[in-house]
Amino acid sequence: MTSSLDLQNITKVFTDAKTGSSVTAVTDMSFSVAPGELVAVVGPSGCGKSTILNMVSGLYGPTEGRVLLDGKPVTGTRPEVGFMLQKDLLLPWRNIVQNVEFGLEEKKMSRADRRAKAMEELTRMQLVDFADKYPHHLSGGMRQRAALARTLAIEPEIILLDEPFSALDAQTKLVLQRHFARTIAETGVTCVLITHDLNEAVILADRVVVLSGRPGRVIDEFEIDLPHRTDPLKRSLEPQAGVYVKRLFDALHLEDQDAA
Amino acid sequence: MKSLQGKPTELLAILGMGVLMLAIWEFLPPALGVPKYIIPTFSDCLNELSRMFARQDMLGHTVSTLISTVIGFILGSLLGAACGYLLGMSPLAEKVLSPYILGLQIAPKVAFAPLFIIWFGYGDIPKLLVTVLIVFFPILVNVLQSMKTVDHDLVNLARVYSMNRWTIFRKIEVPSSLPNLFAGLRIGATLAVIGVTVGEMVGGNTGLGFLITYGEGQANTAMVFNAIIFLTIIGIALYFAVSGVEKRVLHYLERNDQH
Repeated sequence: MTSSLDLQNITKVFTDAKTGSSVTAVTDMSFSVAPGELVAVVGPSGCGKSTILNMVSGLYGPTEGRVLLDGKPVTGTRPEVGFMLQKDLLLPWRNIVQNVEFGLEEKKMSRADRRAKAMEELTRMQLVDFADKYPHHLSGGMRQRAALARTLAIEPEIILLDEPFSALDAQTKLVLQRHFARTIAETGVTCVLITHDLNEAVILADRVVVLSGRPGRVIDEFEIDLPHRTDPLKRSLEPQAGVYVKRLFDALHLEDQDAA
Repeated sequence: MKSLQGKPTELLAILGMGVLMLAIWEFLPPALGVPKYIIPTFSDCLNELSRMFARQDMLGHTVSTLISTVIGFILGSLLGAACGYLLGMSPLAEKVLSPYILGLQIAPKVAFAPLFIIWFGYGDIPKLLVTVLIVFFPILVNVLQSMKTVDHDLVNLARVYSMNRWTIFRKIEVPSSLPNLFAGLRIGATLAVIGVTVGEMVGGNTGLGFLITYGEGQANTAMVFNAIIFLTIIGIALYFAVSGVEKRVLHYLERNDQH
Protein backbone atom coordinates (compact mmCIF):
# COMPACT_ATOMS: atom_id res chain seq x y z
CA MET A 1 0.00 0.00 0.00
CA THR A 2 1.27 3.47 -0.79
CA SER A 3 0.31 6.82 0.63
CA SER A 4 -0.38 10.30 -0.60
CA LEU A 5 1.31 13.22 1.05
CA ASP A 6 -0.10 16.72 1.43
CA LEU A 7 1.74 19.73 2.78
CA GLN A 8 -0.72 22.57 3.40
CA ASN A 9 0.61 26.08 4.02
CA ILE A 10 3.49 24.90 6.15
CA THR A 11 5.51 27.41 8.13
CA LYS A 12 8.27 26.31 10.47
CA VAL A 13 10.01 28.70 12.83
CA PHE A 14 12.95 27.56 14.95
CA THR A 15 13.57 29.55 18.11
CA ASP A 16 16.95 29.39 19.78
CA ALA A 17 16.30 28.54 23.43
CA LYS A 18 19.35 30.51 24.64
CA THR A 19 19.33 33.69 22.56
CA GLY A 20 15.61 33.83 21.84
CA SER A 21 16.30 34.66 18.22
CA SER A 22 14.20 32.80 15.70
CA VAL A 23 14.80 31.52 12.20
CA THR A 24 12.05 30.82 9.70
CA ALA A 25 13.07 27.69 7.82
CA VAL A 26 10.08 27.37 5.51
CA THR A 27 7.15 29.68 4.97
CA ASP A 28 3.67 29.07 3.58
CA MET A 29 4.78 26.02 1.67
CA SER A 30 2.31 23.77 -0.08
CA PHE A 31 2.77 20.81 -2.37
CA SER A 32 1.46 17.30 -2.60
CA VAL A 33 2.66 13.89 -3.68
CA ALA A 34 0.28 11.34 -5.21
CA PRO A 35 0.41 7.64 -4.25
CA GLY A 36 3.29 5.92 -6.04
CA GLU A 37 4.72 9.19 -7.25
CA LEU A 38 8.39 10.15 -6.91
CA VAL A 39 8.71 13.88 -6.29
CA ALA A 40 12.11 15.55 -6.17
CA VAL A 41 12.54 18.65 -4.02
CA VAL A 42 15.39 20.91 -5.11
CA GLY A 43 16.59 24.23 -3.78
CA PRO A 44 19.59 26.17 -2.57
CA SER A 45 21.21 25.12 0.70
CA GLY A 46 19.34 26.37 3.74
CA CYS A 47 15.95 26.28 2.02
CA GLY A 48 14.53 23.96 4.65
CA LYS A 49 14.69 20.72 2.67
CA SER A 50 15.61 18.63 5.67
CA THR A 51 13.00 20.44 7.77
CA ILE A 52 10.34 19.14 5.39
CA LEU A 53 11.54 15.57 5.80
CA ASN A 54 11.64 15.81 9.58
CA MET A 55 8.09 17.15 9.65
CA VAL A 56 6.78 14.47 7.31
CA SER A 57 8.51 11.75 9.36
CA GLY A 58 6.89 13.21 12.47
CA LEU A 59 10.07 14.11 14.35
CA TYR A 60 8.59 17.54 14.91
CA GLY A 61 5.49 19.41 13.79
CA PRO A 62 5.11 22.59 11.71
CA THR A 63 4.59 25.94 13.43
CA GLU A 64 1.66 26.63 11.12
CA GLY A 65 -0.12 24.56 8.51
CA ARG A 66 -0.73 20.85 8.25
CA VAL A 67 1.12 17.77 7.06
CA LEU A 68 -1.30 15.11 5.87
CA LEU A 69 -0.51 11.50 5.07
CA ASP A 70 -3.46 9.84 3.32
CA GLY A 71 -5.55 12.79 4.46
CA LYS A 72 -4.71 12.28 8.15
CA PRO A 73 -2.54 14.80 10.01
CA VAL A 74 0.91 13.60 11.06
CA THR A 75 1.16 13.83 14.85
CA GLY A 76 4.21 11.73 15.60
CA THR A 77 6.58 9.17 14.15
CA ARG A 78 4.85 6.31 12.37
CA PRO A 79 6.14 2.89 11.38
CA GLU A 80 4.94 3.31 7.77
CA VAL A 81 7.52 5.97 7.01
CA GLY A 82 10.93 5.02 5.58
CA PHE A 83 13.88 7.32 6.02
CA MET A 84 17.21 7.47 4.18
CA LEU A 85 19.97 10.04 4.51
CA GLN A 86 23.26 10.86 2.88
CA LYS A 87 24.83 8.90 5.74
CA ASP A 88 23.90 5.22 5.51
CA LEU A 89 23.16 5.12 9.28
CA LEU A 90 24.14 1.47 9.45
CA LEU A 91 24.93 0.41 13.01
CA PRO A 92 28.61 -0.56 12.99
CA TRP A 93 28.14 -3.14 15.77
CA ARG A 94 25.58 -5.11 13.76
CA ASN A 95 26.26 -7.16 10.69
CA ILE A 96 24.36 -6.38 7.50
CA VAL A 97 21.41 -8.70 8.01
CA GLN A 98 21.00 -7.52 11.62
CA ASN A 99 21.06 -3.95 10.33
CA VAL A 100 18.26 -4.73 7.88
CA GLU A 101 16.30 -6.33 10.73
CA PHE A 102 16.69 -3.21 12.87
CA GLY A 103 13.53 -1.49 11.63
CA LEU A 104 11.53 -4.72 11.99
CA GLU A 105 12.30 -5.16 15.65
CA GLU A 106 9.43 -2.97 16.81
CA LYS A 107 6.97 -5.01 14.75
CA LYS A 108 5.18 -8.01 16.11
CA MET A 109 6.87 -10.75 14.14
CA SER A 110 8.90 -13.81 15.02
CA ARG A 111 12.66 -13.88 14.83
CA ALA A 112 12.50 -16.30 11.92
CA ASP A 113 10.06 -14.13 9.97
CA ARG A 114 12.26 -11.13 10.58
CA ARG A 115 15.31 -12.94 9.29
CA ALA A 116 13.38 -14.20 6.25
CA LYS A 117 12.15 -10.70 5.41
CA ALA A 118 15.64 -9.23 5.82
CA MET A 119 17.17 -11.90 3.58
CA GLU A 120 14.48 -11.25 0.98
CA GLU A 121 15.43 -7.56 0.87
CA LEU A 122 19.15 -8.38 0.75
CA THR A 123 18.46 -10.70 -2.18
CA ARG A 124 16.75 -7.89 -4.02
CA MET A 125 19.72 -5.62 -3.31
CA GLN A 126 22.18 -8.36 -4.35
CA LEU A 127 23.80 -8.31 -0.95
CA VAL A 128 23.07 -11.86 0.22
CA ASP A 129 26.75 -12.77 0.19
CA PHE A 130 27.44 -9.92 2.57
CA ALA A 131 24.68 -10.70 5.08
CA ASP A 132 27.09 -11.61 7.87
CA LYS A 133 29.70 -8.96 7.05
CA TYR A 134 29.99 -5.79 9.13
CA PRO A 135 29.38 -2.35 7.57
CA HIS A 136 33.07 -1.41 7.49
CA HIS A 137 33.73 -4.35 5.18
CA LEU A 138 31.43 -2.84 2.54
CA SER A 139 32.00 -0.10 -0.02
CA GLY A 140 30.01 3.14 0.13
CA GLY A 141 27.61 2.02 -2.61
CA MET A 142 26.99 -1.34 -0.96
CA ARG A 143 26.38 0.31 2.38
CA GLN A 144 23.81 2.61 0.85
CA ARG A 145 22.15 -0.42 -0.79
CA ALA A 146 22.04 -2.09 2.62
CA ALA A 147 20.43 1.09 3.98
CA LEU A 148 17.81 0.90 1.22
CA ALA A 149 17.20 -2.76 2.07
CA ARG A 150 16.62 -1.73 5.69
CA THR A 151 14.27 1.04 4.57
CA LEU A 152 12.25 -1.26 2.32
CA ALA A 153 12.13 -4.14 4.80
CA ILE A 154 9.53 -2.34 6.91
CA GLU A 155 7.33 -2.10 3.80
CA PRO A 156 6.92 1.66 4.12
CA GLU A 157 4.05 3.51 2.50
CA ILE A 158 6.26 6.49 1.85
CA ILE A 159 10.04 6.85 1.65
CA LEU A 160 11.84 10.08 2.48
CA LEU A 161 15.25 10.41 0.85
CA ASP A 162 17.63 13.16 1.92
CA GLU A 163 20.41 13.32 -0.67
CA PRO A 164 21.05 9.59 -0.46
CA PHE A 165 23.51 9.55 -3.39
CA SER A 166 25.49 12.70 -2.70
CA ALA A 167 28.34 11.05 -0.78
CA LEU A 168 29.07 8.52 -3.52
CA ASP A 169 31.57 8.72 -6.36
CA ALA A 170 30.15 9.45 -9.84
CA GLN A 171 30.23 5.87 -11.10
CA THR A 172 28.75 4.27 -8.00
CA LYS A 173 26.11 6.97 -8.01
CA LEU A 174 24.92 6.07 -11.55
CA VAL A 175 24.74 2.37 -10.75
CA LEU A 176 22.94 2.94 -7.49
CA GLN A 177 20.47 5.39 -9.00
CA ARG A 178 19.46 2.77 -11.55
CA HIS A 179 19.24 0.05 -8.94
CA PHE A 180 17.17 2.37 -6.86
CA ALA A 181 14.83 3.48 -9.66
CA ARG A 182 14.05 -0.15 -10.49
CA THR A 183 13.40 -1.13 -6.90
CA ILE A 184 11.17 1.86 -6.27
CA ALA A 185 9.20 1.11 -9.43
CA GLU A 186 8.86 -2.54 -8.37
CA THR A 187 7.46 -1.70 -4.96
CA GLY A 188 5.38 1.22 -6.22
CA VAL A 189 6.08 3.16 -3.05
CA THR A 190 5.59 6.94 -2.74
CA CYS A 191 8.89 8.85 -2.55
CA VAL A 192 10.11 12.31 -1.67
CA LEU A 193 13.66 12.83 -2.87
CA ILE A 194 15.54 15.81 -1.49
CA THR A 195 18.49 16.66 -3.68
CA HIS A 196 20.70 19.50 -4.80
CA ASP A 197 21.75 17.60 -7.91
CA LEU A 198 19.52 19.04 -10.68
CA ASN A 199 20.37 16.24 -13.07
CA GLU A 200 19.49 13.62 -10.47
CA ALA A 201 16.13 15.29 -9.89
CA VAL A 202 15.31 15.17 -13.62
CA ILE A 203 16.39 11.58 -14.28
CA LEU A 204 14.72 10.03 -11.21
CA ALA A 205 11.57 12.02 -10.50
CA ASP A 206 8.03 12.12 -11.88
CA ARG A 207 7.70 15.69 -10.75
CA VAL A 208 10.00 18.38 -9.38
CA VAL A 209 9.27 20.98 -6.69
CA VAL A 210 11.66 23.95 -6.65
CA LEU A 211 12.19 25.85 -3.40
CA SER A 212 13.53 29.36 -2.87
CA GLY A 213 16.33 30.26 -0.46
CA ARG A 214 15.53 30.74 3.25
CA PRO A 215 12.79 31.01 4.20
CA GLY A 216 11.90 28.26 1.78
CA ARG A 217 8.73 28.36 -0.28
CA VAL A 218 7.70 26.74 -3.56
CA ILE A 219 8.73 28.85 -6.56
CA ASP A 220 8.19 26.33 -9.35
CA GLU A 221 6.69 22.90 -9.79
CA PHE A 222 6.50 20.78 -12.97
CA GLU A 223 6.08 17.25 -14.30
CA ILE A 224 9.02 15.43 -15.83
CA ASP A 225 7.54 13.84 -18.94
CA LEU A 226 10.34 11.49 -19.96
CA PRO A 227 10.43 7.75 -20.77
CA HIS A 228 12.63 5.15 -19.02
CA ARG A 229 11.54 5.78 -15.46
CA THR A 230 13.39 2.67 -14.35
CA ASP A 231 16.60 3.52 -16.18
CA PRO A 232 17.96 6.94 -15.16
CA LEU A 233 21.03 6.49 -17.34
CA LYS A 234 18.93 6.13 -20.50
CA ARG A 235 16.72 8.94 -19.32
CA SER A 236 19.65 11.31 -18.97
CA LEU A 237 20.45 10.74 -22.66
CA GLU A 238 17.01 11.93 -23.77
CA PRO A 239 17.36 15.31 -25.50
CA GLN A 240 14.44 16.66 -23.47
CA ALA A 241 16.29 15.94 -20.18
CA GLY A 242 18.65 18.84 -20.78
CA VAL A 243 15.70 21.17 -21.26
CA TYR A 244 14.33 20.22 -17.82
CA VAL A 245 17.72 20.72 -16.18
CA LYS A 246 17.92 24.16 -17.85
CA ARG A 247 14.49 25.02 -16.49
CA LEU A 248 15.62 24.12 -12.95
CA PHE A 249 18.81 26.04 -13.54
CA ASP A 250 16.80 29.12 -14.49
CA ALA A 251 14.29 28.72 -11.69
CA LEU A 252 17.09 28.77 -9.14
CA HIS A 253 18.70 31.81 -10.86
CA LEU A 254 22.02 30.04 -10.90
CA GLU A 255 23.43 32.16 -13.71
CA ASP A 256 23.08 35.27 -11.53
CA GLN A 257 25.25 33.81 -8.83
CA ASP A 258 28.92 34.51 -9.16
CA ALA A 259 31.19 31.58 -8.52
CA ALA A 260 33.42 33.94 -6.57
CA MET B 1 51.32 -5.79 22.24
CA LYS B 2 51.44 -5.35 18.52
CA SER B 3 55.23 -5.39 18.39
CA LEU B 4 55.30 -8.67 20.34
CA GLN B 5 53.40 -10.30 17.50
CA GLY B 6 55.74 -8.73 14.95
CA LYS B 7 58.81 -10.04 13.24
CA PRO B 8 61.13 -12.42 15.11
CA THR B 9 63.96 -9.88 14.92
CA GLU B 10 61.84 -7.35 16.77
CA LEU B 11 61.03 -9.92 19.43
CA LEU B 12 64.70 -10.75 19.72
CA ALA B 13 65.59 -7.07 20.14
CA ILE B 14 62.97 -6.66 22.87
CA LEU B 15 64.26 -9.72 24.75
CA GLY B 16 67.84 -8.56 24.25
CA MET B 17 66.98 -5.20 25.75
CA GLY B 18 65.49 -6.95 28.79
CA VAL B 19 68.57 -9.09 29.31
CA LEU B 20 70.79 -6.03 28.98
CA MET B 21 68.81 -4.11 31.61
CA LEU B 22 68.90 -7.08 34.00
CA ALA B 23 72.64 -7.32 33.51
CA ILE B 24 73.12 -3.62 34.28
CA TRP B 25 70.95 -4.03 37.38
CA GLU B 26 72.94 -7.03 38.49
CA PHE B 27 76.48 -5.75 37.92
CA LEU B 28 76.47 -1.93 37.89
CA PRO B 29 75.48 -1.13 41.53
CA PRO B 30 78.14 -3.46 43.11
CA ALA B 31 80.76 -2.13 40.67
CA LEU B 32 79.97 1.43 41.82
CA GLY B 33 80.01 0.31 45.44
CA VAL B 34 76.29 0.99 46.07
CA PRO B 35 75.23 -0.96 49.20
CA LYS B 36 72.49 -3.60 49.13
CA TYR B 37 70.09 -1.63 51.30
CA ILE B 38 70.11 1.18 48.72
CA ILE B 39 69.90 -0.89 45.52
CA PRO B 40 69.72 -4.66 45.90
CA THR B 41 70.87 -6.52 42.77
CA PHE B 42 68.66 -8.73 40.62
CA SER B 43 69.93 -11.88 42.32
CA ASP B 44 69.43 -10.32 45.78
CA CYS B 45 65.83 -9.69 44.86
CA LEU B 46 65.38 -13.24 43.58
CA ASN B 47 66.82 -14.66 46.81
CA GLU B 48 64.59 -12.40 48.88
CA LEU B 49 61.62 -13.41 46.72
CA SER B 50 62.08 -17.12 47.42
CA ARG B 51 62.46 -16.31 51.12
CA MET B 52 59.26 -14.23 50.95
CA PHE B 53 57.35 -17.10 49.36
CA ALA B 54 58.67 -19.53 51.99
CA ARG B 55 58.44 -17.39 55.13
CA GLN B 56 56.41 -14.27 54.45
CA ASP B 57 53.32 -15.75 52.74
CA MET B 58 54.09 -13.85 49.53
CA LEU B 59 51.47 -15.91 47.69
CA GLY B 60 48.78 -14.95 50.20
CA HIS B 61 49.66 -11.24 50.01
CA THR B 62 49.71 -11.31 46.21
CA VAL B 63 46.36 -13.08 45.99
CA SER B 64 44.87 -10.66 48.53
CA THR B 65 46.01 -7.64 46.51
CA LEU B 66 44.86 -9.23 43.26
CA ILE B 67 41.38 -9.92 44.66
CA SER B 68 41.05 -6.41 46.12
CA THR B 69 42.16 -4.90 42.82
CA VAL B 70 39.70 -6.92 40.76
CA ILE B 71 36.77 -6.35 43.13
CA GLY B 72 37.53 -2.63 43.46
CA PHE B 73 37.90 -2.33 39.71
CA ILE B 74 34.61 -4.12 38.99
CA LEU B 75 32.64 -2.15 41.60
CA GLY B 76 34.17 1.16 40.53
CA SER B 77 33.49 0.39 36.87
CA LEU B 78 29.87 -0.61 37.46
CA LEU B 79 29.23 2.47 39.56
CA GLY B 80 31.05 4.80 37.16
CA ALA B 81 29.28 3.40 34.10
CA ALA B 82 25.87 3.49 35.82
CA CYS B 83 26.31 7.12 36.87
CA GLY B 84 27.68 8.01 33.42
CA TYR B 85 24.61 6.57 31.69
CA LEU B 86 22.20 8.15 34.16
CA LEU B 87 23.77 11.59 33.83
CA GLY B 88 23.93 11.11 30.07
CA MET B 89 20.18 10.53 29.95
CA SER B 90 19.40 13.58 32.06
CA PRO B 91 20.96 16.80 30.74
CA LEU B 92 19.54 18.71 33.72
CA ALA B 93 21.21 16.46 36.31
CA GLU B 94 24.41 16.66 34.32
CA LYS B 95 24.36 20.46 34.33
CA VAL B 96 23.65 20.65 38.05
CA LEU B 97 26.21 18.03 39.06
CA SER B 98 29.05 18.60 36.62
CA PRO B 99 30.92 21.28 38.65
CA TYR B 100 30.91 18.97 41.68
CA ILE B 101 31.97 16.01 39.61
CA LEU B 102 34.81 18.08 38.21
CA GLY B 103 35.86 19.06 41.72
CA LEU B 104 35.81 15.48 42.98
CA GLN B 105 37.62 14.33 39.88
CA ILE B 106 40.47 16.75 40.53
CA ALA B 107 40.69 15.94 44.27
CA PRO B 108 43.52 13.43 44.85
CA LYS B 109 41.55 10.27 45.63
CA VAL B 110 44.40 8.51 47.43
CA ALA B 111 44.35 11.30 50.04
CA PHE B 112 40.98 9.93 51.17
CA ALA B 113 42.58 6.68 52.38
CA PRO B 114 43.31 7.89 55.95
CA LEU B 115 39.76 9.25 56.20
CA PHE B 116 38.29 5.88 55.21
CA ILE B 117 40.42 4.21 57.86
CA ILE B 118 39.13 6.64 60.49
CA TRP B 119 35.59 5.84 59.40
CA PHE B 120 35.77 2.12 58.70
CA GLY B 121 38.78 0.85 60.62
CA TYR B 122 41.65 -1.39 59.52
CA GLY B 123 39.82 -3.80 57.26
CA ASP B 124 39.20 -4.44 53.60
CA ILE B 125 36.66 -1.66 53.24
CA PRO B 126 39.00 1.37 53.18
CA LYS B 127 41.24 0.00 50.43
CA LEU B 128 38.22 -1.09 48.38
CA LEU B 129 36.68 2.36 48.78
CA VAL B 130 39.86 4.11 47.61
CA THR B 131 39.99 1.79 44.61
CA VAL B 132 36.33 2.26 43.74
CA LEU B 133 36.71 6.02 43.99
CA ILE B 134 39.82 6.17 41.85
CA VAL B 135 38.36 3.86 39.15
CA PHE B 136 34.98 5.57 39.18
CA PHE B 137 35.82 8.93 37.57
CA PRO B 138 37.62 8.09 34.34
CA ILE B 139 34.82 5.67 33.51
CA LEU B 140 32.07 8.10 34.44
CA VAL B 141 33.64 10.87 32.36
CA ASN B 142 34.21 8.63 29.34
CA VAL B 143 30.68 7.22 29.37
CA LEU B 144 29.14 10.66 29.87
CA GLN B 145 31.19 12.04 26.99
CA SER B 146 30.03 9.24 24.69
CA MET B 147 26.39 9.76 25.66
CA LYS B 148 26.70 13.41 24.66
CA THR B 149 28.21 12.59 21.28
CA VAL B 150 25.83 9.85 20.12
CA ASP B 151 24.97 10.38 16.44
CA HIS B 152 21.68 12.25 16.53
CA ASP B 153 20.64 10.88 13.14
CA LEU B 154 20.87 7.34 14.51
CA VAL B 155 18.57 8.33 17.37
CA ASN B 156 16.15 9.91 14.88
CA LEU B 157 16.23 6.76 12.78
CA ALA B 158 15.28 4.73 15.83
CA ARG B 159 12.54 7.24 16.65
CA VAL B 160 11.14 6.97 13.12
CA TYR B 161 11.04 3.21 13.72
CA SER B 162 8.86 4.02 16.76
CA MET B 163 11.39 2.88 19.33
CA ASN B 164 10.86 4.20 22.86
CA ARG B 165 13.46 5.89 25.08
CA TRP B 166 14.57 2.68 26.75
CA THR B 167 14.91 0.80 23.46
CA ILE B 168 16.92 3.67 21.96
CA PHE B 169 19.16 3.56 25.02
CA ARG B 170 19.68 -0.19 24.69
CA LYS B 171 20.01 -0.43 20.94
CA ILE B 172 21.73 2.85 20.02
CA GLU B 173 23.26 4.65 22.96
CA VAL B 174 24.85 1.77 24.86
CA PRO B 175 26.49 0.18 21.80
CA SER B 176 27.66 3.63 20.61
CA SER B 177 29.29 4.25 23.98
CA LEU B 178 31.22 0.98 24.16
CA PRO B 179 34.49 2.26 22.61
CA ASN B 180 34.54 5.11 25.14
CA LEU B 181 33.55 2.80 27.99
CA PHE B 182 36.48 0.53 27.20
CA ALA B 183 38.87 3.47 26.98
CA GLY B 184 37.73 4.35 30.51
CA LEU B 185 38.06 0.74 31.68
CA ARG B 186 41.64 0.55 30.42
CA ILE B 187 42.54 3.69 32.38
CA GLY B 188 40.62 2.34 35.39
CA ALA B 189 42.50 -0.97 35.25
CA THR B 190 45.85 0.76 35.73
CA LEU B 191 44.49 3.09 38.40
CA ALA B 192 42.91 0.25 40.41
CA VAL B 193 46.35 -1.02 41.41
CA ILE B 194 47.28 2.42 42.71
CA GLY B 195 44.11 2.57 44.82
CA VAL B 196 44.68 -0.82 46.40
CA THR B 197 48.38 -0.14 47.02
CA VAL B 198 47.70 3.13 48.81
CA GLY B 199 44.93 1.53 50.84
CA GLU B 200 47.23 -1.29 51.92
CA MET B 201 50.13 1.03 52.67
CA VAL B 202 48.08 3.30 54.89
CA GLY B 203 46.34 0.63 56.91
CA GLY B 204 46.05 -3.11 57.31
CA ASN B 205 48.43 -6.01 57.49
CA THR B 206 47.85 -7.82 54.25
CA GLY B 207 48.72 -7.29 50.62
CA LEU B 208 51.68 -6.12 48.62
CA GLY B 209 51.17 -2.51 49.72
CA PHE B 210 51.57 -3.66 53.33
CA LEU B 211 54.78 -5.52 52.37
CA ILE B 212 56.16 -2.25 50.99
CA THR B 213 55.72 -0.39 54.31
CA TYR B 214 56.84 -3.50 56.24
CA GLY B 215 59.96 -3.86 54.09
CA GLU B 216 60.65 -0.17 54.50
CA GLY B 217 60.50 -0.49 58.30
CA GLN B 218 63.00 -3.35 58.18
CA ALA B 219 65.26 -1.56 55.70
CA ASN B 220 64.61 -4.64 53.49
CA THR B 221 64.92 -2.88 50.12
CA ALA B 222 64.73 -6.12 48.14
CA MET B 223 61.30 -6.80 49.67
CA VAL B 224 60.09 -3.35 48.56
CA PHE B 225 61.46 -3.98 45.05
CA ASN B 226 59.70 -7.35 44.85
CA ALA B 227 56.39 -5.96 46.05
CA ILE B 228 56.57 -3.16 43.46
CA ILE B 229 57.35 -5.65 40.69
CA PHE B 230 54.42 -7.88 41.67
CA LEU B 231 52.07 -4.89 41.82
CA THR B 232 53.19 -3.94 38.33
CA ILE B 233 52.53 -7.47 37.10
CA ILE B 234 49.01 -7.37 38.56
CA GLY B 235 48.41 -4.02 36.82
CA ILE B 236 49.67 -5.31 33.49
CA ALA B 237 47.58 -8.50 33.78
CA LEU B 238 44.42 -6.49 34.50
CA TYR B 239 45.13 -4.10 31.64
CA PHE B 240 45.60 -6.89 29.13
CA ALA B 241 42.55 -8.74 30.45
CA VAL B 242 40.47 -5.60 29.80
CA SER B 243 41.93 -4.96 26.37
CA GLY B 244 41.43 -8.65 25.51
CA VAL B 245 37.73 -8.33 26.32
CA GLU B 246 37.66 -5.06 24.40
CA LYS B 247 39.08 -6.69 21.27
CA ARG B 248 36.36 -9.33 21.39
CA VAL B 249 33.50 -6.97 22.11
CA LEU B 250 34.59 -4.27 19.65
CA HIS B 251 35.61 -6.70 16.91
CA TYR B 252 33.49 -4.76 14.42
CA LEU B 253 35.63 -1.64 14.59
CA GLU B 254 38.14 -0.94 11.88
CA ARG B 255 41.60 -1.29 13.31
CA ASN B 256 44.67 0.24 11.80
CA ASP B 257 46.89 -2.68 12.73
CA GLN B 258 44.83 -5.07 10.61
CA HIS B 259 45.96 -3.48 7.38
